Amino acid sequence: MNHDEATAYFDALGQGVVPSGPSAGELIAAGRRATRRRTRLTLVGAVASVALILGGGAVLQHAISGGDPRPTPVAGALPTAPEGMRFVGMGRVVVAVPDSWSTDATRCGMPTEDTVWFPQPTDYDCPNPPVGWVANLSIGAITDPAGVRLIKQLSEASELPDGTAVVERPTTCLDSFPEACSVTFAVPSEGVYFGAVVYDMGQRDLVESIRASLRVLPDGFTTIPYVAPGTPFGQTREALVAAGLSVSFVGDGPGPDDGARVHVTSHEPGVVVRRDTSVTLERVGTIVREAERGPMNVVPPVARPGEIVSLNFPTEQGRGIAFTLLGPQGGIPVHTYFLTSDGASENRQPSWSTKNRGTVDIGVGGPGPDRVIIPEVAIPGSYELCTANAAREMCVDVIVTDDRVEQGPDPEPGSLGSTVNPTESGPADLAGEWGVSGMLQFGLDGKQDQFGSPRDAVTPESMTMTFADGTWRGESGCYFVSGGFTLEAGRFRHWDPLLSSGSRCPAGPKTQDNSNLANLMLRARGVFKDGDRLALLNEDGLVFITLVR
Amino acid sequence: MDKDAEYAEFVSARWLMLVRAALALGCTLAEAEDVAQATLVKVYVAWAKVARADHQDAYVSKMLVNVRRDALRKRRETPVAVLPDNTIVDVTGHFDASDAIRRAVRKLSQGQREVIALRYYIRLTEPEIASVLGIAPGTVKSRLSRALGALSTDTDLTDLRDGGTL
Repeated sequence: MNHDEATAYFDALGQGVVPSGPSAGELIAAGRRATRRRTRLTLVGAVASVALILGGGAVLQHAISGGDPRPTPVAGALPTAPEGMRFVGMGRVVVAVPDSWSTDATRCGMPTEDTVWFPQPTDYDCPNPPVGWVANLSIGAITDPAGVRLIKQLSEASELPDGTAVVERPTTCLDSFPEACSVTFAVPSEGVYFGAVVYDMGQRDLVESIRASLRVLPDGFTTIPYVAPGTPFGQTREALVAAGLSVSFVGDGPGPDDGARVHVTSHEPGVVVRRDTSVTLERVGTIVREAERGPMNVVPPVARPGEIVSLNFPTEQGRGIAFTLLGPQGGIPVHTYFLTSDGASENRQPSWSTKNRGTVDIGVGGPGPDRVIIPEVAIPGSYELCTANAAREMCVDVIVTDDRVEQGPDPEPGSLGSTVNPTESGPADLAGEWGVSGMLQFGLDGKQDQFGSPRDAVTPESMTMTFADGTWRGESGCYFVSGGFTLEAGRFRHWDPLLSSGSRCPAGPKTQDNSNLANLMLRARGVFKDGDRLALLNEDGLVFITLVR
Repeated sequence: MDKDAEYAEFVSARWLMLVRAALALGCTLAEAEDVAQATLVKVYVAWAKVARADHQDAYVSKMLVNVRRDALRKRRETPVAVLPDNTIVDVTGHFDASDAIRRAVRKLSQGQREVIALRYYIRLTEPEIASVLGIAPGTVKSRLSRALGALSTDTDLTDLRDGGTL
């Protein structure tokens, strides 16, 4: 192929590409946020440079010692992490992770990008966890439920150079998936454990370097403790003061002693600071007053976790797409979720996060409905759902219920959750289009693996599967997955790796949902067919997807 | 014209080009759109430099390549289609141009993909590619030559080239 042929070839291929068009307005808004972040980072960089100069003795000693990648602690100096890394930890114990790793980017107790996170007990009660194939470091107290379980598995003992005892499970990689490597270790005297996991070729060294960077901070330093956003001011202040930090409160309205729910806005959890550093708290959510409860209503007012509800505005009320969900009332700690509505538009998907990452400023008018999703992890109770960037704050009450489908002891053969043997079926029995009538979601069940036990039966809004001669295709909204198969006597002899695409979806984050759908499909090992009903079985014969013709 | 208006015009003119180039770097269409968007956000931040650049497309293509390289390094969210098995075959028979581009470049090295993307979708010359990637012009030439050689003998592409789909 010469240059001209290649030009024609790639031109022809390129002509067929029809991506969704970007919104220049959204890009400009994102660009402005990025500009602001860069300005802040520049300031932080300047401060860090000063700190580096102040801690120059450590750097000099590091250079003289022949370039040992492990930084040497020097009493009274801010420890310096290896190039491209930063220290994070709990209490006085820290390790170095790549600078690029974010903090607490999790959903449903599972990291959604390379991140440092602090597992919470509620993380493990998640009916629909996202895919966790990202590098991450979890940090927690060995007295937490996860820590208690974990510490029992750490059999090897060692010491840090200063004599501090460490227990660990050294770096291991899976035989079946050698890219997946992990290391777990704890410092019992400090009450802290760490778990590092990577899922990438050639990253074993990274896991080992994280373990090698373990150290106890010198006197005068500590780390910012993790306090769940939305925790009442008093509890938050108590945790921060216990760490040797001072607290300031920023915001309008009633004072901080009114039970305001707050979050730390000046520091990420886990970062190293000097003791006595001042930490800034700001109020999250809204103080609800009766007069503000009129112009917005929610349908249905009682919803399940993961359910999409509609917000209606009987009178003209300008608002944005950002909302907050606070609750449950009386619960400690109170959870705060940051919701993004679809803006009464079919081109946008509602989403949620535990972090307030900022929202594109999109004005929405008219009666709605603006659709928002109740987070899958929301525990049952009464919540306040409020506008987050409307000129006039409006709130409504939402009751989140826990009406999970209980699987009876003897479910009908072929129904969701039943265990059956495959029926004698071949490709011809499956040919045609099927509508998905139900599917199981899988919870973590206290484990850190990809899938746990089945938790919920859900009814997809619109999902179809089409089987043709040796090929299958699943569609769910704007996503599709497809592959090939060979079926003999009701068992899939091969079930191809999936091609999946969200190319028809609106621009924005999408890979996670795409992966969820595709991962569920990957479990199919056999079929159970009864007339116009079809069920997909996993390797244990468990029916996890039901279909009707 | 103010900055935002100039930028909006730039986005409109370059969007398709950047998505196609990202596809040639080995992205899925969804990834390509994300890479193009991330690049354009960086363009906004550095608009003063981009606007002054002698060759805006060369300047922006460097950003695009870096965004893609960062994504490969970080592997923040990995679609199932590329994990954990690398031997993924589209057996649906469904023609999708974005899949076709990925199929065309999937056997090339990342370095070869980069020169293909910059040459045939950003339309840079070989010296410009060398400057953008920070490699010698001779290296660009050899990578292009080997990439085209590999494409010529790729039996998977024969149908696409000769079968009337294109």
